[in-house]
Amino acid sequence: MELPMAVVIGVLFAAGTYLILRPNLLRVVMGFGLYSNATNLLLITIGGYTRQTGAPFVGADPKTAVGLMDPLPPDIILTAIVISFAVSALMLTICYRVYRDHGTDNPQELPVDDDFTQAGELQSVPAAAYPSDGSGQLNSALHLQVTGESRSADRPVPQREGERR
Amino acid sequence: MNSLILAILIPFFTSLVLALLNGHFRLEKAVALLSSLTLTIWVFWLLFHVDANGVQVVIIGGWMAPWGIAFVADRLTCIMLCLSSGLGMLVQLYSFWTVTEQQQRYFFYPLMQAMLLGVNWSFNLFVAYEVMLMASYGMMMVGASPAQVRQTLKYIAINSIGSTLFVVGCGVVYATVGTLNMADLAVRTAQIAGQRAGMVTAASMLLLVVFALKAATFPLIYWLPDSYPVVPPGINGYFAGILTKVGVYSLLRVFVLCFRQEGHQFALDVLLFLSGLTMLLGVLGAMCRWDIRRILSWHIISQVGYMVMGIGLAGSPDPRVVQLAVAGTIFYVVHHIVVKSCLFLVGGIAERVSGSQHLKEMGGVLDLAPGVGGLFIVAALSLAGMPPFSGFLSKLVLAQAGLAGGNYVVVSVAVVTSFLTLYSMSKIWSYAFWSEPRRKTALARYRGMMAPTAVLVAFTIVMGTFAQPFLGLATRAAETLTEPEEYIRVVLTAKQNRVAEPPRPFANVVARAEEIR
Repeated sequence: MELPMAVVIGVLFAAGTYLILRPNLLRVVMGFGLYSNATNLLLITIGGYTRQTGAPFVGADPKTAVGLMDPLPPDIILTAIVISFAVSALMLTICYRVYRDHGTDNPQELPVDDDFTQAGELQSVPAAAYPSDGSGQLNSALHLQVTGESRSADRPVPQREGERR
Repeated sequence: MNSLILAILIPFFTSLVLALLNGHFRLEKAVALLSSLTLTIWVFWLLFHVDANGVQVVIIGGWMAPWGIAFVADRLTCIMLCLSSGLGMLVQLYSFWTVTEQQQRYFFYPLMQAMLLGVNWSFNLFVAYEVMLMASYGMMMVGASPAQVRQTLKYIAINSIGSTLFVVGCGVVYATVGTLNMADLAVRTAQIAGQRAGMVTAASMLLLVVFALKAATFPLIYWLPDSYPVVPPGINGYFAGILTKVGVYSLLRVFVLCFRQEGHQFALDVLLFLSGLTMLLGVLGAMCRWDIRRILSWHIISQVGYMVMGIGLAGSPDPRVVQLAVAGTIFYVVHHIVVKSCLFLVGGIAERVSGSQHLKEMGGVLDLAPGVGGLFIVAALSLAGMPPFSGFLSKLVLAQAGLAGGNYVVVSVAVVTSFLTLYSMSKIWSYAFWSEPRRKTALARYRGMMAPTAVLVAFTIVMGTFAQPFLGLATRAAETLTEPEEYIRVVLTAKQNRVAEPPRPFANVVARAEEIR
């Protein structure tokens, strides 16, 4: 069981790395998803999962504890799944915010932050800039006033603030 | 000593209560402050208790030490707890003047720290890390301006890679050594030699990458100077002081205490090599910046280099050098947490007074707010390592350890870095504080923000001039790490208080695990 698992884990990690290096935020998030799956498979393999051993405490005779895989790795996996779920949900939200702020999902087109980041950009957007009707559309006039950006509110276009130095 | 768990429970319940109180800002402030004050007093009491009575353990659940979760407080843990909760309280006080909304999140922070530092089971270290990171993502995005959001994305991405490696590293360590309890790891790895030792070293290198990433050690440093400047002022003092030091703490804990297999010095040698590069690169990065937050962020990296150097020096075969190096590292961590966050807080005040964070536009803060200049110069000189402040002594101890171990190259790099730090600090001083003022009066009220900062400045002076108690404590903390017999005995023999044996259905499993052991 170890050899095929090792191959699968390797392929998953490779695919994840490929996706993370793509210039597209959504693929980056998916890459992390593959990473966490590969990690969980690795832990299962470490726990000694074979055709003969079942899930801990379920498939085995509780008196003899024969045919039982090590219960610790599944325990770790459960925790890791919960955490990676939360992190990917957060990352998706942030990716959407980045897309809405900059009109692009290509990380290479995002502005470069250096000494000359406009001071206005570090100020936060006031809550009033977000309407309470839940449409998620920015009140563009207010937003622009704060960030000092010049862009169309209807259809965001990619743009850079300041030149790369 | 069941009350050990209070270090987690107090912040945990406070954060829940604060979330419920959302909207009542005054009440929230009062609750947050009261709770952090209680926590701080309590952890200081714990520090004295542990210092006098030795390592304290609490076992959670019905499982005994190598299997169950053990919360362990030794001297190093308590020192870190005191620093994080004390600093948390000061930063909260400070941020009352700088933040407008979202106060309920502010207390979430010491929770992570307390959790992290109290926890002593490698995998739980992972969970605590994740909780801490989740909170830090939230803190970084408070306000959610475009710059903050895109920097947080990078920060999450790099930390997710670190977390993946962390789980993989824990898995491989578990597969090769068969335990994740730190005390048990120390016992078992000490018996490993030959080919398996190589495997354990390889597994430990995975963890080294993870902790080096969190600590911002070369070459994994570039996430830090981009992401820290977007953190709101005040909170960035906490980020700067505690977050990377958590990485240093983990390195210290794991590589000095846990991994003792044949050839474990390899990891420490790698760290020693990297530390020189970290120091030099960090300070060079700082020298060419003009944004005060960015300069200070780059300095974090260079300072982490010193601490990692101390850990690397612990690879020496001479036990006295190891002792000195570890004690020096702990002393340095204390010094650094205080001084670095102090500098960030002062930087925040200077920004507020002058209305800019660009050195050439700040101009004349000394005229606008003379007290702030005084606070800055003490902290800056302490950072660069001038006597009589704490920076001088902490660098001195590390340099002594380095010279005693014959590592002349890294010590000379440390000295050069120290000079360059002085240059960089005088650049801030002459441009931001000394030059012609750009405005007549201070832009905003700032006096209230000076009180927490002044406490930190006073601490660095006291720590530099009355160093003996601090140095003694650091030495005793180092002893627990380098001669862990007491630590191991206490953790592995600790019995769960109420249940004498594990619950019935699991008894066979425990027996079997004992057999495999």
